[in-house]
This record gives sequence, C-alpha cells and structure tokens, in this order.
Amino acid sequence: MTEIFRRHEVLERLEGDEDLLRELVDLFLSQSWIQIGEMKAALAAGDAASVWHQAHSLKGAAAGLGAGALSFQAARLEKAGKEGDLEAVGALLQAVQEELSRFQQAVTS
Amino acid sequence: MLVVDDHPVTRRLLEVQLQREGYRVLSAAHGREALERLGEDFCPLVLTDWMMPEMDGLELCRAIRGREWDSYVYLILLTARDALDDVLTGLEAGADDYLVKPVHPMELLARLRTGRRILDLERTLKERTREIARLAVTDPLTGVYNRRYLMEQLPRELRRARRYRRPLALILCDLDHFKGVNDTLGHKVGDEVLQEFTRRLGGQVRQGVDWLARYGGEEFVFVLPETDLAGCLALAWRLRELVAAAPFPTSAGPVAVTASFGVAALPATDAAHLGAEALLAQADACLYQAKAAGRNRVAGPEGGTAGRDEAGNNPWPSRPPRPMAGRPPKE
Repeated sequence: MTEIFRRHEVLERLEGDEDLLRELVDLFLSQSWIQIGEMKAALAAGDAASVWHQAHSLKGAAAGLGAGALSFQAARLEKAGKEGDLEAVGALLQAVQEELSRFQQAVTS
Repeated sequence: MLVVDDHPVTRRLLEVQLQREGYRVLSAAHGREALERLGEDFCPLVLTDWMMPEMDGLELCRAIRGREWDSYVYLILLTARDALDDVLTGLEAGADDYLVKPVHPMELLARLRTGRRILDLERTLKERTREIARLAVTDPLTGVYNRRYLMEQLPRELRRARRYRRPLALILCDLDHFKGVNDTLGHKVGDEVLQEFTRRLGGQVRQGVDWLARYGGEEFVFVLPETDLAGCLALAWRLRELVAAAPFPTSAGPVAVTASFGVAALPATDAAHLGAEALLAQADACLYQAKAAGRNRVAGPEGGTAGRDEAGNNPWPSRPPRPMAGRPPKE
C-alpha cells in the first residue's frame, strides 16, 4: 500500500532542510485545496478536461512531496477526467479529498 | 536556466534542487510566461512540464524552435507520460530530451549536464565558425580585408549603389618603389612598412561604411560607398599626404615612403553597367598614370587634372620618391 507521506525521503532530498519542507507543504496544501474547489466547480459544469488537467498537476506535485497515496488517487482521477467519465470523476474527487485530509493530518501531527 | 511548471510546489522543488547545484534558476507557470521570461532574460537551458494551462510544453517547444535566440536552446520535456507515441511527439515538437516524472534528482542533474555539454559544443562551434569566416576574408599580414573579400563584396556594393542610385568610388593605391624596400632592408621591414601603411590610412575612412582591402603585394583598394569622384579625390590627396608626411617607423629605423593613387567612381549615368573588374581596371589605369607622372601623386579619370590641386597646380611636383632613406639593414 502506498504511504501517506514519505517524510524521510523528501527531507533527504531537501538535504534535511525542515524549514523548506514546511514551506513546501504549506504551499502544497493551500494550492491543493484550491484545486479541489476548482475541480468540484468543473465537475458541476461537466468540464471533465479541466478536472483532468488539475488532477494531473496535483498528481505530479504530490509525488514530488512524497504524498504517495494522494498522488495515486489523483492519477486515477486524472484518468477518469481524461476519459470524460463524470461519474467516476465524482467518486474519485471524493477519494482525492479524503486522501488530502489524511496527508494534512500526517504532516501536521 | 528556466523551469516551467504550473504547480508552485513542483516548480519550487525543482528550483531549490537546481539552485543547490549552482544553477541560476528562473521560473514560469506556463508556456506563454516562459516565452516572456526568455525574451526578458535569456537562458539556454529550459526544463518544461508537458501539461500546463495557457500554453503547454509541446507548444512551448515549437514556439522556442520557431524563433531566433541568442544561442541554441536546450529543451528538456518533463512528463508523467511514458508512452512511446508521446515521447516521439515531444521530440518532434523540438525537445532535445525528456524525463519521466517523478524525476530522480541524480538523473535530472545528469541530463542537465548533457544539455550543458551540448550548449558548450554549440558555443565553441559558433565561435570557431565566426573566426574561420573572419580569417577567410582577412589579410593575415595587415589585418585588412583580403582580395577574396574585395572580389565578393565590391560587386554587392556596386549593385546596392546602382539600385538606390547612390554614388560609389574606389581608390587603388600602390606603394612607390616598394621592391626597393624589400631588396635593401629585407622582407621583414617590408612587412612592417605594409602594416604601418594600413594602420595610418585605415583610420582615415568612415567606420562601418568605407573599407580597405589588400589587393596584391603592395596594392590596396579603398571602397567608398556614398562618395562621388570629387570626394574620392579629396580623400586620395589626404591619404597621399599622410603617407609622405612622416617616415614609417620600422625595426630598421624610419623609412620614407610614398604611394601613388588611382581613383574611379561609378558614373552618374551608368549606362554601361560597369562591373567591379571594370571599375578596378579604370582605377588601375589612373594609378599607372600617377606612376608614370612621377609617383607620389593622385590621378583621376578626367585627364591629368586630378593630379593637381584646386588652383590647377600639381602641389607636389618635384618631391622625389625616397623609398630607401632609412638606415642600412643590420648585419
């Protein structure tokens, strides 16, 4: 099972810079919640392509920050958005949001 | 280098990592912004994400390739995709390399090193090509243009003058009794005289407009766009004076030098469509006239009048050429 937050690995890549890690995590969280909001709006408007692009961006950033599980769910959402499967998008958007919450808990605890 | 990614975290992560490696990093959120940044502050290494709003990575690659930049731009496409088709599309759009996300930091740095190597090669190659092109048209002894340049460039200057109905003139000059300098003082001193000749006279013409070429051994040609016969004669007289005014310093001591000048200008009604060779031949005939009249003078196409000053007198009628007035050669 993919991990919620591979903190150690990310920190290693940042050469142990805790401050930088905190800065990046904060930036990521605020950006991600904005994206979740935008994807919800896009879903309501039936705009699957927009969900696809946002999920793609979220997936990449999550992978970069060691948020494996979130990145995995975002990848599934991206695929659904790309295929225009709005039903799946709805369910997966929910999954992504839950995973984001879990990540937030993991980084703040 | 320039990092292009729409996600601020991805962008920041790359920035931090690359700055640690000593790169100067600019960043942009999408292709259009990337083009703007490149226009303001050019950098030859670009690492770009594929999927972005406004202008995606593929469009960015095409846009970069479609324009002239200060140097080659090495483009690396970052993508989460790894299907062969996508890779081919990326490379066809003009990317030099691609990396599949998430990128291993060591791999990223290694690929960037490859990019830098290619940019270095390109820079060296361009410098060499420029240098070779310069050498191909330069006279190695004096540093002025050589005969090859003269024969290539003069017809172009003539065409331009004709097209815009502008005047053009040229001066053919030859050092008097130069063979004597070589025979008595040696070729090394002869070379020094030629170098001093171009140093002295080269500065007398308009920079970026007029130019000087070595035509043969001790023969030089000044090409003077936007200059008519009168202007050309005036300059030729001034050049003559400048050569004769003071002896040339050489390693064998001062050597008195004079030169003879023949001029030719594109006629106002150029019905005959005079070519470069014809114009040079005309100047050469005048030069011959100047030599025959006693050297150290200027001759133009209108009879001998050009060899005289405004009052109708030849201002330097009796000065004998003194090509060998320097000290005798050293042992």
